[in-house]
Amino acid sequence: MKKKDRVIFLVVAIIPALALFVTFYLIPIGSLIYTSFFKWESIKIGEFIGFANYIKMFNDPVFWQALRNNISWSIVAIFIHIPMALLVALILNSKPKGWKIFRTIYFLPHVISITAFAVIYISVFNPSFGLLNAVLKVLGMNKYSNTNWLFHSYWAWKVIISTWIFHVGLFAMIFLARMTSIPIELYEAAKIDGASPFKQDLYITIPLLKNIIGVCIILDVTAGLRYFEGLYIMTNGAPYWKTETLALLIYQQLQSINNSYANTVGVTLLVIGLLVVLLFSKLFREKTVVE
Amino acid sequence: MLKKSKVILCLVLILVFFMTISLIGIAKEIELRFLSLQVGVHTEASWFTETVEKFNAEYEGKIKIVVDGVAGDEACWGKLRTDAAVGSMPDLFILKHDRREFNVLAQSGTVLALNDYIKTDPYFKGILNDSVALAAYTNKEGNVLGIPYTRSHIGIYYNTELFAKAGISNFPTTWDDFFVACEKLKAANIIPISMMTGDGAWCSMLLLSNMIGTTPGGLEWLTTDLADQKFNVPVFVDAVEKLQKVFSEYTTLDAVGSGYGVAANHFLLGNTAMIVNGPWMEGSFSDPKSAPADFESKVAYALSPGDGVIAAEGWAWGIGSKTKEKQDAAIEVVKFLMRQDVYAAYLSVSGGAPCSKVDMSEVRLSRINKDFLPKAVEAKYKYTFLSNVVKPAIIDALCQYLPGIADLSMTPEEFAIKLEETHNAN
Repeated sequence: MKKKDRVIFLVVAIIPALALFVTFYLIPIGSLIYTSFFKWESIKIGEFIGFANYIKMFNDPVFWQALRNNISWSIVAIFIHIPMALLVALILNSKPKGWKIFRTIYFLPHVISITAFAVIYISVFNPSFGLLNAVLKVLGMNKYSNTNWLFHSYWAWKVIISTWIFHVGLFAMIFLARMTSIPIELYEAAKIDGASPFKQDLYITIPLLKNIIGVCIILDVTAGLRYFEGLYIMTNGAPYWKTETLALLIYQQLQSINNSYANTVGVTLLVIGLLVVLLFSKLFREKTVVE
Repeated sequence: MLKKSKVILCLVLILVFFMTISLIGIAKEIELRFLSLQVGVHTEASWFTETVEKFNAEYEGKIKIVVDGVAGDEACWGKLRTDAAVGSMPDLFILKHDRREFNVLAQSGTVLALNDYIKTDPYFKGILNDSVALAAYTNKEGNVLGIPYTRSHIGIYYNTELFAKAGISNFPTTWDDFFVACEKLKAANIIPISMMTGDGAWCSMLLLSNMIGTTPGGLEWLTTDLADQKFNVPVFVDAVEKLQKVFSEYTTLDAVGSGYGVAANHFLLGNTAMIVNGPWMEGSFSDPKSAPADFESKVAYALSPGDGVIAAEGWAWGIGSKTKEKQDAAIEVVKFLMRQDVYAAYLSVSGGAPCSKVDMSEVRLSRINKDFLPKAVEAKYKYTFLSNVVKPAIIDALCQYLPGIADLSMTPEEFAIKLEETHNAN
C-alpha cells in the first residue's frame, strides 16, 4: 500500500472512534467547563458570572467534607486496599491447597451489582434487625447492639469504607495474571542463591509488578472518585454530610436545580482525576534502560 | 399507446384521490402526548387508563391522547424537565405546586399561559371557583400556568386496634395529650409513630409542619415570603423540640436513615400505631401485597393535635403544546377531565378535595375519608407543608441534620441555626 493510501486508510478508520470520542466525551466536558462560569438554576442558562461558582464552592463546607472523604477513600485504597489485594495474590500465587476455590471466592463480590450490595448492607447495619447488631447482642456487647451504624456521626464513614475494603478479588486477579508472566528462571536463580520465598516475593515479584501496581492504584482511586450508587442508596451523604463525596454532591446539586454549581464540582472532580492519573503514572512508570 | 396512457393516468388519479382522503382523515385527528405518572401500580392508574380510553372513544377521529407514562414522581419530573430543556414539552402533563418544579417550569417559558382561556371560555368561567388554587399556579408575571385539579387534606393515620390495646379511646386533640398517648402506647410495647429521615424526610416533615402550623405564629411563619424566612425563631424551635422528643423516644430504631418504604411498612405491618401521610396511602391498606387482610378496617384518619390539618395544593393540568390547534385540543381534554362524572370518579379514587365546582354527592368517599373530610374542612388551622414554603436545599439539610436531632447530639436551636445558614447560602 502506498504511503498516501495508508494515511488515508488510517484517517478513515479512526473517524468513527474520533466522532464518538468528540460527541460523547469532548463536547460534554467542554460544555461542563463552559457552563461552570454561568448562572444556571433553571431550564435556561443564565448570565455569565465568572468564577463566582468556584468561589462559592471553595467557601462551601459540604464541598470540603466531600473532598476530605474522597481523599480518605484514596488513602485507604492506596495503603490498605491495594496492598491487601497484592498479599492475596502473593498467597494464591504460591498455590496452596484449594487456591482455585479461594480465587473464585475472592472474585465473587465483583459479579454482584453495587446496588444489590448496598441493599444488603442496609439490612446488615439496620439497628433493629441487622446482622451486626444481632451478633453484638449474642456477644454481650449491648452498649453497641442498638447502634444505627450507617447514620452514626462517628461510625458512618468508617462503616462505608468497610463495605468495599475487603473486595480485593479484582485487583488480586490482575496481580496474579501479571505474576504468571514473570520468568521462572529468576526464581530458580534466587533459590539457588538461598533466597526464601518471602525474599523472592520481596526482591523479585513486587519490583516486577511496579507498573501494574500503579495501574491498579489509578483504577482504584478513580473508581472511588466515581463511586455513587452505593452511597446514594445507603446514606445519601447523611448524617451531616459525613458520608458525602464529590460525585454525590454533584447529583444532589442537580436535583436542587443548581446546575452550574454541580458542573463546577464536576470540573473540580475532573481535574482531581487527571492529577491522580498523571501523578501515579509518573510514580510507577518503569524506567527503560537504553543500551 | 394513447389508451395505455389513459389507463395509467386514471390509476394515478385514483391513487392520489385515496391518498388525499386518508391524509385528510389523519390530519383531522390531533394526537396529544400526555405525560403522566398515573401508570403502573399508582393508585390512580386505573382511573387514568379508563379516562383516556373513554376520551379517545368519544373523540375518535378528532383528538387522540397518547399516554407517555413514567412511573414515580422523581422519574416523571426528570422526564418533564428534560422535555422542557430540549423544547419538546408534552401537550398535557401534571403541574405540581411543589416550589422546585413549579418555579423551574414557570421560568422555562415552555408552559402555555391559560389566562385567555380562563377569562373568555364560559366553561371555565362557570366551573373555576377557587381563587386560592388558581393563584397557586400563577407565576410572578400573572400567567396562570395550570388548571387546578386537586388539593389534599393530610392528617394522621392511626391504628384503632393498637390504640385500644393501649387504652386510648380517642385520638389526642392537643400536643400534651399526644405525648401522653405516646407514653401509653410505649407502655403497651407498641411503637407510637413511623418516622423517617431519607426520601426528603417526608412523614417527619409533615409532622413538623403540623407542629408549626398549630402553634401560635405558625400560620404566619408558613406564609412568610421566602426572602424573609427565618428558622432560628421560637415558633420553629419549639416545633423542632417536639419533633426531637418524637424521634428520640417514640419511633423505630431504624427511623434515622429510612425512606418512605420502611416507614410505611412499619405502619402497615402493625409495628407502629401512627403515620402522617396523605389520602393516597389509603390504597395500600387494602392491598394484599402491602398490608395484612382486614387492615383497612383498623385504620382511622385524624386531624393533627392542636386542631390543624395540612391543606396543600395538589396539582394542576399543564399544557405544553406549541401550535394553536394542539393547544385548543388540549383544552378540550382538560374540560373532559373536569366533567362531573370523570372528576367525581377521580375524587373517589384519590380521596383528594376538588379545586372547582363538582357535585360531591356523586363522589364515593371511602369510609376513612367520609369521617375525616368534614373535620378537615372545619379544622381551626389550615396550612401547607414545609417543603412547599422553603428552598429545596432546606429539605436536603433537613435529611442531613435530623439524625442529630434523633440522637440528641444536636439541640433544636443548633438545628434551626444550621437550617438558617443553609437558607442564606442558597
